[in-house]
Amino acid sequence: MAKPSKDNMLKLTYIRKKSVFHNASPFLKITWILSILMISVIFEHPIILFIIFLSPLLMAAISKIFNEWSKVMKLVVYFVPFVILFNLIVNANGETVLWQLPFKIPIFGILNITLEELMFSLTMCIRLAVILGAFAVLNLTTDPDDLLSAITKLKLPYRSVVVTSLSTKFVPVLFSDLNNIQEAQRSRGVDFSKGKLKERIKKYGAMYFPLLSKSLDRSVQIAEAMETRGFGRYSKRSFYKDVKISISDAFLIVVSIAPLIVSLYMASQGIGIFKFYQRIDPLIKSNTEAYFFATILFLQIILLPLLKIKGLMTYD
Amino acid sequence: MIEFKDFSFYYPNCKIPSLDKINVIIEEGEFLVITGPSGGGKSTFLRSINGLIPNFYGGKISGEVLVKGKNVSKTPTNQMSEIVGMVFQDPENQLVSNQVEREIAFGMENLCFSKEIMKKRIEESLDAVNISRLRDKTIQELSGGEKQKVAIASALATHPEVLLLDEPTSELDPGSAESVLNVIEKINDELGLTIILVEHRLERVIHHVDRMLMIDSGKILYDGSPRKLKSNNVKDWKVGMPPVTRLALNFEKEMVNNGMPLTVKEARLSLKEVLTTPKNKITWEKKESSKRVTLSMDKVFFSYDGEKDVLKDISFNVFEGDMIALMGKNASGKTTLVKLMNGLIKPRKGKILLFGKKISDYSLEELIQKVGIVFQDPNLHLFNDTVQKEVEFVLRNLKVDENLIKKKTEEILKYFKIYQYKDSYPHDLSGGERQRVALASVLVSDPEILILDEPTRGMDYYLKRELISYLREKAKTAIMITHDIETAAEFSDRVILLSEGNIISDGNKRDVLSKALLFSPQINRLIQPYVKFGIPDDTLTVEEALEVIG
Repeated sequence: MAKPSKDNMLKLTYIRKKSVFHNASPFLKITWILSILMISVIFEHPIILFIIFLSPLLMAAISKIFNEWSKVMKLVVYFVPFVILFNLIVNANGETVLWQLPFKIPIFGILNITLEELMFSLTMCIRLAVILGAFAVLNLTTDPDDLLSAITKLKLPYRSVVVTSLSTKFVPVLFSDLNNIQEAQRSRGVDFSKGKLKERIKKYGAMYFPLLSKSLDRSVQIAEAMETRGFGRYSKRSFYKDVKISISDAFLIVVSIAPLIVSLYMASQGIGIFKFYQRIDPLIKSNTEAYFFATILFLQIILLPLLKIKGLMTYD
Repeated sequence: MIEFKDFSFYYPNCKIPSLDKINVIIEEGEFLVITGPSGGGKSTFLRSINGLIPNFYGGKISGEVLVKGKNVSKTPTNQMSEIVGMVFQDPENQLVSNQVEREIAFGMENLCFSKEIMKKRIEESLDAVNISRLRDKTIQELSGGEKQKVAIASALATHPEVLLLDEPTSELDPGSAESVLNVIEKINDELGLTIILVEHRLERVIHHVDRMLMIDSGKILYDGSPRKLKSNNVKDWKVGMPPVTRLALNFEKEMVNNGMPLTVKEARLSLKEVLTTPKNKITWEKKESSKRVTLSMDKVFFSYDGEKDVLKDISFNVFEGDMIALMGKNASGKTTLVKLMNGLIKPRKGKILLFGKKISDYSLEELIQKVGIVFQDPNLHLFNDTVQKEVEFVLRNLKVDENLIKKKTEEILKYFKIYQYKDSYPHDLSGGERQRVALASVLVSDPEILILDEPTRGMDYYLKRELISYLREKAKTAIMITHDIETAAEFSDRVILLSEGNIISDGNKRDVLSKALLFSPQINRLIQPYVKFGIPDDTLTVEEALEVIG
């Protein structure tokens, strides 16, 4: 019996809906995420990262997947204290002391919480949110099969692409297996809520073997099924649903890459470089920088109304 | 079309052949059923026809298999896919796309069909299995039976000449299974495809097929029309023939016409003489439940998502000594209901009392002594290093005395005939053996209420009978979820029918199972016209029928 997924469970896979981003060309989705990922790697500037974050945020909102998406983002929020704590311990830099720990910690000595450390940690969390957020939008709005056809069109070997897309398909299955194993073990007296940390780790470890054996069984069965359906018979394959790029798609693709091009130019000119240590840079150093930020913001946002317009055109 | 010449096969590191000098010729357009006990070699036989054996699994072969003149073991399976299509047991693990049309296209895409041909073939295959209405659905939206039909349509799309089916209905409820089998029969009939079907629940298919192969220990024990079966053929078989056939095999001399009856209707005719002259006058005793309540549910509602109730207003009592068969279609709420009984999930509304106490008031240790569950999939249960440790596990959790642990473990391992594997790694065993280890690992602690979720799925007839006799002998109170009406008739005293989260029938098995339209065993349907001659109208099993008609 298929298990009804629980409401509070994370959903990371494709949800079929109708929205402008769901219906967008897979190529556009690829360039969109590529542009976001690269910008978030190029810059450490909190303002730029925040601007970039708006893109997956707004996209999630117009794609009617905001509930699922925000659950992924909650993970990032849980992550923030850990990042700050970690930075606090390993990274003793920064001049602007906000607060001093009232006691000494062996090995580490006196720990200061500095503005620089705090800003750095928060910025890193925004970066994490950008990357996770963009992937979540892509996963939730894109049929892996569409992505597959698009990537194969880009001349990547289809065998590895099929295998990758298959493995994403089985993530929810893995979770439901895990749940079933836990129930079966609890029915035999394994209490997951009791015991010392070491014992608990051992209990969770005991779930690993059934899960592995189950997954191996499953992969053998899938491999058999694919083999008997001629997978890998020829070095090429044909496609039932072709992904083609229309002129409007091409235009949108250019728009989606535009912020990346601007960013590359900025990086080459040394604009938007942000230093946290020893003393934190001011958020906006010059007017030129501010203009460039505004440009990136504009280019990020403009994609949304353009998508909407295209959507209206195709529905008519 | 297909020819096995002295074909033998050994799995890697195995000294006993899985197929032993097989010689068979299968003609074009035949509809063949292969049956036999678990582990007897039926699946291996099937996989030798498209080269999964030996190309995918490795191992040693001798002799050859020819399909349309091609030597199978020398041809890669993905090349054989142009002639031979295959449908597997588990609907979950053979579909690779997200959407029905795309799934059907997958095989054709691999074989580089053009887009125009694909369009046409998708149309044809959707039609052939009557699922055109599903074309735009995603795979997740489909039921198990629909998924199996999609798998069949996908196999048909490349126009194979042979279709292999490996127990395609074993994961389905009787209704879905029936409709999948009807589709298979139709494509054999109308498209003339050669069909080779592995199945151990013969009563559903046997009357459709032209020929039956019975394979045990790698050898073919019977090859021919099922209508030509004689009782000395069947004597030592470990497969369950349809109940009416089993009954008829006792009356070879008295039968009206010569062919062996395979369906209820045929048996009514051929056994007319016997059925109109029952020898003994018997009234079946209806076993009443005891008065001691073990578990009670009062107006229980349950919902996974807080919106749709999976169980609605469930009220009933389980009494001490009850042997209950819990039946109903897939997704009718059976598994959910039993999970409520040991607190794995909690009701949205309503009261559940276990021996007069709330489930949440029990410690886990006390709870597992009261309620033991064996889930469908044995893989979920097994996580220890050896079979022995696996079975001892619950007892150790309950801190039972060491000597008693040893004694109880040995006893139950011997009973389930797995004592010789006590030091093996559980996941190395075959499917049937794993299932017995999982059963033993729960049964060993003698829980007050024992719950089994489809324990007989994939079991052959003999294992089933052994399990039933074990439960009737040893279990204190047992609840078995099952799709198998014959098993329910033999095992239970009381039957509960669930439909869409409601209990629609609950009572003695003789009241619930006799004269029911959907859920009545073959024997019961067989005897209905002969009730006026003195056969009790609530006769359910072959053994009972034999007692009456002598």
